[in-house]
Amino acid sequence: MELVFPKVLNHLLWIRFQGKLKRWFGGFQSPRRRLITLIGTVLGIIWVSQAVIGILFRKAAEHDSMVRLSAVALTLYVFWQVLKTVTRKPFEPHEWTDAEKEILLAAPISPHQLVSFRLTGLAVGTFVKALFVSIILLPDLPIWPIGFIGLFLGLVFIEFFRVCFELIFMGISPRLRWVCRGSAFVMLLGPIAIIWYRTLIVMNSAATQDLPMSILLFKSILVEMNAIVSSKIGVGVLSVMASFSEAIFTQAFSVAGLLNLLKITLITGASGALVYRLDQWSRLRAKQQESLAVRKGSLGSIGAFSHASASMARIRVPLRINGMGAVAWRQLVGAYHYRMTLSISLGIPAVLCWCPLFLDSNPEVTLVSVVGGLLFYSFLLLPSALVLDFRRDIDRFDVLKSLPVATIWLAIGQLATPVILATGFQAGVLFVATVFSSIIWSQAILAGVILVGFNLLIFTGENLIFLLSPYRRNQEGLDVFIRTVLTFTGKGIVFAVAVSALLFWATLSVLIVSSLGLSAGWAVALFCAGLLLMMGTVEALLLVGLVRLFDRFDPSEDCPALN
Amino acid sequence: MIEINNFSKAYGSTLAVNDLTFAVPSGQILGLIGRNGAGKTTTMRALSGIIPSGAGEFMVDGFSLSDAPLELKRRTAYVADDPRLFSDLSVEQHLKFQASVYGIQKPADEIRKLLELFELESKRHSAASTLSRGMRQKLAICCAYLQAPTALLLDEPMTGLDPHAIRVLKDTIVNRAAQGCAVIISSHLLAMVEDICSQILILDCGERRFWGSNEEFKQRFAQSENNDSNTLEAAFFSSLTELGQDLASTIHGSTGSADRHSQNIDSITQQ
Repeated sequence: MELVFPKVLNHLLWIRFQGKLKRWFGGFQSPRRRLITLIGTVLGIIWVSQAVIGILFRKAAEHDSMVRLSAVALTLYVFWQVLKTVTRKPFEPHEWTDAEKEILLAAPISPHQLVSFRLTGLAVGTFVKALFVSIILLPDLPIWPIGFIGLFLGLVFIEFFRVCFELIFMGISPRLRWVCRGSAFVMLLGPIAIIWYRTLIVMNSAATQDLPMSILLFKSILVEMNAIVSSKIGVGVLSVMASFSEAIFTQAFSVAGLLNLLKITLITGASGALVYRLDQWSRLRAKQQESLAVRKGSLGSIGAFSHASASMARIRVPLRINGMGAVAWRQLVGAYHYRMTLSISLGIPAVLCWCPLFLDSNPEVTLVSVVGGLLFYSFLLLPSALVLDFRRDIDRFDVLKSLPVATIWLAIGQLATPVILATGFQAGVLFVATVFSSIIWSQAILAGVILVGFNLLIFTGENLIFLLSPYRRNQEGLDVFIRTVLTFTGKGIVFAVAVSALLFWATLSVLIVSSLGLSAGWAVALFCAGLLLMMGTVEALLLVGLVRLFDRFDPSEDCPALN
Repeated sequence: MIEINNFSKAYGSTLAVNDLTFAVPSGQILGLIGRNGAGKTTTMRALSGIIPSGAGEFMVDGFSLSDAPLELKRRTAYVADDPRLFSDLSVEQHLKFQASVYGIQKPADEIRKLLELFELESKRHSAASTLSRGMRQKLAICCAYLQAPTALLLDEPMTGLDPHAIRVLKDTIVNRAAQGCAVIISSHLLAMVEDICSQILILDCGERRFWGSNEEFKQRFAQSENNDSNTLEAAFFSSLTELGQDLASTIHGSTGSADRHSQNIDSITQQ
């Protein structure tokens, strides 16, 4: 009889865990990595301690609102998984790594056992996540062990649901996939549009004009979200995750509570069982689709680009410009291949940045709101969305280092594409905002110029951090935690210093101009000139750092191991 | 001409290459032979500027890696054993990128010739990520040839190639050498090395064990073992006995040698 989980897979899970620990300790080998790991660990301990202290000393939130909010959060997490699946290419429901593909899939292990292995891996990862979340929610969980079990089951259910959905998505026809994509976007954008529309109506009403705009906006969004959640549709959508939420916040041992726990255990178990069935079904469907395509003769030659891509290939040899041109062109071709994902990543922040246009404000306030939104999204989102620089070339550092291109030009070439795309996005948002509002053109152009400098700073900084602590995309583990802590702290410090410097320089500009007896316009000019000079200096320093780091980078030693 | 003088490289506490010196004159083909982990790839990667060299000097046509790295890189082409290509670029785009970076004027004809020679014409618009192992190797070789290097470094270049491509590659290597290119080939295919290489360099545990002509190598080792077969392969296996004894004395016998190794690691780390 076939074992559901053979010993060899059990052993593999264990040795992989050991390997991850070993790799983390390996991070302490070189002096540079040792220092970074040490700083990251210390900062991590500080952050975690702070969080623990915050948890222990905080008051418990109101029970009913926690039940409702957690149901909303879990449902949004489900939506996020759906959205991720419908936009991802290629479909990889089980997310096998290359090593797993070559070793495990070729080993005498049945597909059922492989699914068991993958589901166990997911459950183990989720166990750690649930443990962390349950500790953060410690004061809010009336019975911690039940709360933890509820959380664990809830998160495992979402993971199993994701795999099920991905398997279904892989098995259906391409036409149905497009229907799924469309439906997912309608389901996502519909409520957002309704909430925004109703929020803007509230915000434009005379009675609320005296509140600060950010507080008013946040408050109004919460009120409108609550209204939607309380509606019949909202209750229906939340009903599945509401059971998990009720289990998490169970107040006392009761028959009803135990029955609910049993219910969610069964739901989770059923979703796990469904994964096995769907895995079998999707493999069968893939075979059928392939043989159908072969019969129809609709398959093209292996790896042939689409017509649109082929036309890209007809572009003449890119301009060299000290090697920078070719390097930047190569990243632009990459951006072209990810144009859909990029459009979505940039489209949503663009819509959010335009929201202040619907408010009845004066041109300066509208411009500040739009630019503020752009700065916020550019600082938070764009660096992760536009990974078209050193960060995606971890496996090609050999090629980059052997090119006859001076490192400074190579670095500029690598940074050019994300900066160009970010600038294009910001210019587009500002252009639309200026056309459809009373924003003054000269001010919009000046803001655009300053934003270019801002983009340069952001992407150079991101790449500097990357070279200090290189990583692979989709990497997991302790070193990722340390890097995240470092990045988060570093960005926070940079943001605080930048805001302080701006305020200081703004005050100083006014003082200088007034002491000279000049008009207020000169203060603006002085402020902008100083700002650009400051940005230029910092950018130059960052660029020098980036160049030196790349020169010293040793791909044999500094590249992280494959996942 | 390629010159490597006193090159040493350490990874942590492991000395990968120790005080290596050799030269490959223009028009010569050097076969770099050694066991796995002998330091062959490290030497080639350091020469092409990929990894920082611990100690030593690299020169190509009189240009030093430390003083004129761009001039050296412009003249050097390195084909890795497992070429890392840009997954977004098609075969043709790779060649265009190479032409642009290396400043090749009007490369269209040369691109067409190379694609035909290595039978990549039909894959011209295919993404590099969809190519088979052998085709990726062919593309990497095309990229290297396109830049018309005077120093050609090939690390296991035959891996994954079909018989036709192997023949083409061997012919083209010989032709390039005849045109004045200095070539280094690292390979375990001793018959191929014997076929086309004029010089042999044996590396073991990062140390140079033999450097000389193909004939010298065969004379020294094959005859010493009274081996009837006068091939490079036979000579190589005969040489293993001697090299093995050397290695054993390095590791176990002489403490002086071990001290020398640790001194070298210290000096490299300091640099």
